[in-house]
Amino acid sequence: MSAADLQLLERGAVVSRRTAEPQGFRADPDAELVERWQAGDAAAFAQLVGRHQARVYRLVLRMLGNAEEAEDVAQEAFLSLHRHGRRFRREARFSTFLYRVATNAALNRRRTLSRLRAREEEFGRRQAAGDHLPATPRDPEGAALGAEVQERVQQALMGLSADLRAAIVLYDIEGQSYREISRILDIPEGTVKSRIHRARGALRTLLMPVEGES
Amino acid sequence: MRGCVGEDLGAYLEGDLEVRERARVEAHLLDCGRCRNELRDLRATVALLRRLPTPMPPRDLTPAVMARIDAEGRRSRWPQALPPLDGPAVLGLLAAGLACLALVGLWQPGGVDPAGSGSEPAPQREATGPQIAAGDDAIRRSRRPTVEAWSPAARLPRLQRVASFSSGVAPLSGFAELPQAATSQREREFDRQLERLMGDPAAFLARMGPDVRGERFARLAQHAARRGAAGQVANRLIAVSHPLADDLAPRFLAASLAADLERSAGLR
Repeated sequence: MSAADLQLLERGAVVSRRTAEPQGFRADPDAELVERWQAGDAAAFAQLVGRHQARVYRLVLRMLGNAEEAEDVAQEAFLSLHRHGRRFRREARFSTFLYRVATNAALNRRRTLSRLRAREEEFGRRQAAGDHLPATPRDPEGAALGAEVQERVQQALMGLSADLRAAIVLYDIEGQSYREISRILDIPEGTVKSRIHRARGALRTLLMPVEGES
Repeated sequence: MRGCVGEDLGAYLEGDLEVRERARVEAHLLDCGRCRNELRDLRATVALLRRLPTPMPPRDLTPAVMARIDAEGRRSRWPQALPPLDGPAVLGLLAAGLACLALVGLWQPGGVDPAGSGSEPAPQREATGPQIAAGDDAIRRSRRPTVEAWSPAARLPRLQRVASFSSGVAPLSGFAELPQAATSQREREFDRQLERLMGDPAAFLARMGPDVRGERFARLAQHAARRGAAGQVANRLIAVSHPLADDLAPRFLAASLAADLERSAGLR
């Protein structure tokens, strides 16, 4: 066993980062705006959109893998929120409820878009052929990670089933806790964990070069 | 090597393993290069995910969202709220539905338009039977001026359709003499529907199709609220991946809210 291996082990398991209980509604930073909106104040809803549009956009972008669709679906998510959310019962945090609506909007869109499925199949074929780096337009925002790597990660995400993708995006990209994801997806926490672990395992297979036994 | 722990590495990485399991994984990692590599790759994968940039929307979405909400409001696609029902009103509506059923079943010469939904008020529907658009084959087929028409199988679809316009009629008194058994039968049917809905929402939605937009599902939602289950059903629907879930969930949310309001106002 090498020194590097020992170092790897010493770092040990990452302690679960997000085990805190969600705050009550009163402590929810959106509580006041939500109350005003539910009392009929359209300006309050506009403020909620402004405040949360980035995270909704980010979530649906990672779920759909396409910027144009993401913009449209993010809008739809807020429309859906406006339609249904007057009955948001404030048992969970507003952001949890919003994630739920947005995840649903993304899943609905995904199912209706056969071309997306075709794209996933295409990616699957490329994976099978050992081509891990599809040629795609560069995204200037990807400079930090490298546009190609970024695209590769996104494509790998698209190679997951929608269930696994929703779980991993909410956890590793959006930083939600198991408990919150359990509420967002309406599945038990144990299922959340197993989906995250399965998703990571699948991503690892898609992203990492195959290595022999050492 | 034997006993590889690949399955557990995800849980190990997140600290989700019990102490004993964790010790087992760590002992194995000391001996197994393949699993160490796998753990390293898994860490690298998570690092990649967490280093993804956080893109912003290409433009402020607020104006477009608010414009679409305005447009939607003008179409008034959804009723803003279902009317909260107190006990007598519930009985009245139920009675109205049953009375209409009787009228439709016994001597309505035409059919009933099932797509008419609750959005169109239908004042004095009983007196205008012949003018109602034909087209509901199910009702026409099952229209028999006998007691047979009251068999559960024959009644359910008709009850549902009757409910779809009875909210527009809404005479709230004068039907108290209807048999209690009919009410409980109807409730049992609703219970069965709720069971199917909760059991497999996607299959339920697929079977019902666009009918779920009809007013009768508002009745189902109100029934669920009386059972104290409307919020649960709504949550289930919100989570399900089906285009019609967004159409049906508001019914249950609304019914749940109405029930809450009534409870908090001491009406229940």
